[in-house]
Amino acid sequence: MPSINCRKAVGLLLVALSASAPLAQAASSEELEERALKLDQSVQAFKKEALAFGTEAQVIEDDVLYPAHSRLSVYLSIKVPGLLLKDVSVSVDNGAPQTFSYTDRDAKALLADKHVQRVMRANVAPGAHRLRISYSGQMADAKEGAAPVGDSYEAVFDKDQRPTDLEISIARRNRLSKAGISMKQWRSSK
Amino acid sequence: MSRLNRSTRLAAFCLGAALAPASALAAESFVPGTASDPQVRNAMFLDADGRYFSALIELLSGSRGKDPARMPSEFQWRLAESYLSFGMRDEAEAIYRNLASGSPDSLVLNRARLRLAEFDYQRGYTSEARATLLRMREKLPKPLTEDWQDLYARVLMADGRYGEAAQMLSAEDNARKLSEYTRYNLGIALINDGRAQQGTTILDKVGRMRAETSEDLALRDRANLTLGYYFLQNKQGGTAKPFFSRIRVEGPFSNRALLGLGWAELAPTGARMQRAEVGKQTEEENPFSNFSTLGVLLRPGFLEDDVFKRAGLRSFRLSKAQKEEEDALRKALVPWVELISRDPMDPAVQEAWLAIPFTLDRLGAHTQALKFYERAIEELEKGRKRMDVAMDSIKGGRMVETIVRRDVDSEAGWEWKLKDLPDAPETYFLQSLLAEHRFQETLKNYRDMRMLARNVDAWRGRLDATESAWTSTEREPAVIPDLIARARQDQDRSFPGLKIQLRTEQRLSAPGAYTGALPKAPLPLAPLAVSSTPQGGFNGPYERTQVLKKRVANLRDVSSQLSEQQSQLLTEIAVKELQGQQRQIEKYLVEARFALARLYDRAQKGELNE
Repeated sequence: MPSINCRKAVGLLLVALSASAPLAQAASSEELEERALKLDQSVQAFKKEALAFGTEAQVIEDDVLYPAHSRLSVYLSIKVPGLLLKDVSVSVDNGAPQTFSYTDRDAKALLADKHVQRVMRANVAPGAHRLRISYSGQMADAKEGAAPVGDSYEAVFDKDQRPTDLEISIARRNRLSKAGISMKQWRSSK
Repeated sequence: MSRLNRSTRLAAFCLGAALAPASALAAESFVPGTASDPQVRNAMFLDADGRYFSALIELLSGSRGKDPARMPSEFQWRLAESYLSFGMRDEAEAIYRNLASGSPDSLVLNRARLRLAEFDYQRGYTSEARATLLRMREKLPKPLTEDWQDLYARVLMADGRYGEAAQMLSAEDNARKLSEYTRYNLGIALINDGRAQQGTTILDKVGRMRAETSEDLALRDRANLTLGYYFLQNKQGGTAKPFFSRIRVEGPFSNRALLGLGWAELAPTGARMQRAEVGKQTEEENPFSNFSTLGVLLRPGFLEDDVFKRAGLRSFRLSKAQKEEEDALRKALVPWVELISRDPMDPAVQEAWLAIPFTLDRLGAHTQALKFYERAIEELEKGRKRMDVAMDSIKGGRMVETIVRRDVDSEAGWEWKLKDLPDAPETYFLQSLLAEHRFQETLKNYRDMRMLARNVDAWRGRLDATESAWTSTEREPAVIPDLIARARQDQDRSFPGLKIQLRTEQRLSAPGAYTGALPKAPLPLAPLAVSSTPQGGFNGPYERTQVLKKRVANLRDVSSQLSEQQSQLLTEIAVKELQGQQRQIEKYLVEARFALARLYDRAQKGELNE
């Protein structure tokens, strides 16, 4: 990660803040407009700072809590048009399951082409492991009171010394067939 | 192993194979940063979910600090989109500029630039927006012409350059392709540029469009309202009336239309509207040519019969006005009586409360006028009290809190919009303010600051957890062969395919048996340049965590100050708006009291012979 000169950036922000005029009781529209623009620039600078901070913190957390050699990331994709997820539960071996509850917005965001959601990040030792996943949801065009749809799935995967990315897909072969679950392993080429 | 045992194990294996869960296939490879990269795809999901900040973190942490310009173009597009959605336009622009230097899809690139210009326009940076739009003009793909024209016209109009806006919108021979919104803007630009005849003709067309959505209906009403008040101001009451009459009885512009309709009855009829030739309109294009829309249109005299009864008006006779004027006054009362049954906080309704007794007085119904003035004062006083409560709420800082309290965890950045108002005393008065970019943008910044402050706060605990995980002595000791296997796993082999073999050297002499000339003594080796610590000190996870922990406090201080200033700014904008409305209501109250006093005065002098 590039090192960020935080003191300098925060210093600049503070200069920008202190430079802003003291708050007048009856500012004119032009004054308010000008202050809004100045403040907007300070907010922009802060966003940049906060993003650099968050990125650096995320990288360190990933490296420490999920070292590359033991890192397992499980992603979920939906290839069934109109399937809105309610809950998904994932577990590896005998570990505690991680459960997600979806809002309507989350469920719709997952429906778009190529979108995946990371539903698990864990540490696992090299060797064979068993992954379990189950979901419940509802079709967008289902009638009121219709029973929810859902399924569960188990698969074995091999973990080596590299980070392992698994993609679980809920898909169906054709328009009339029932949705099924499959798993694919991804590997970075570099 | 016995035969039986072996066969049992084989059966167990077969059964196990049949019941075994699916097994992973060979791994499929992806190039980091491309559209197959799961982290990029996860960022796409986060983006679609409105979590732009999380999407940015996902992309940037995944790329491990690499220069985005060196990442695949899919990564750069995604990153720029997330930057812009989170309101970081400079970062987005830098990436778009870099992408433009390659050979990107011109349509995609220009669409992105349009989005950038829209962002600048909404934030009030009109000169930047204009510069972006002018830069892309030369190589603008055809499908984007109308969008470009629309935005450029809005930017010019925001700067008060109506003539240029009108000229630019009419320069291309594509009037049919322009959206109704753009046509509306063209009409406004022409009127403001002094070309009223052309402007009103275009607005008239927008005001007659066949509406299919609620937005269309609102735009149609707005065009008609604009025209109605334009003609009213120009003393062409007769021309204004049909425009007010086209507006729906229930809608965002209905109150102002009812008010205008009443005044149009009293205004001089004036000259008829002059139309300019701006294309032909067929009978089918005119939605008012059939009966299906009449039900939603206001027609004076078509309202319910009991409106006068509802308002408590008994029949009155004209004593002061001429026959023609009496008719006009009676007609003006129809929309106003309807109007006073509506929300008393609406300024249009408040004005109607004054307009009715004024009309009644003109008609000679002095007693009723007196009663109406008294009721008007009562209503206006109620409004003033509500405004005082609202002002206290705003000044106490509760307004901003109330507005942003809902969907507080959203990261929506620039995309966020306050769509509806929470039920609070002050929010009613701020409806018009909320439609303004400057208020919405300041509100967005305030929300973003709060979200970022919460994010920084959350990292306090997470950094502590990371630190303790790193310094924990409970970690299992490293297994050396595993470490070597891991290191070898990704190593680049310098000579792939080279096989190294050992063989016995035949020509070496036994130690001490060699008698030939010795080679020169080897040069002494320079000592290895190994320092105890890397230059600048060791910078492992622990050290980096310590640096971040120190930054948390700084960031928190700055975010608090910025949030405070944003909140203060929002409060001041709202106070200014409310003060304007307060002045208006005060003015109405003074007028009502003065009119009432004059009526009493005239009654005392015996001038009222009702």
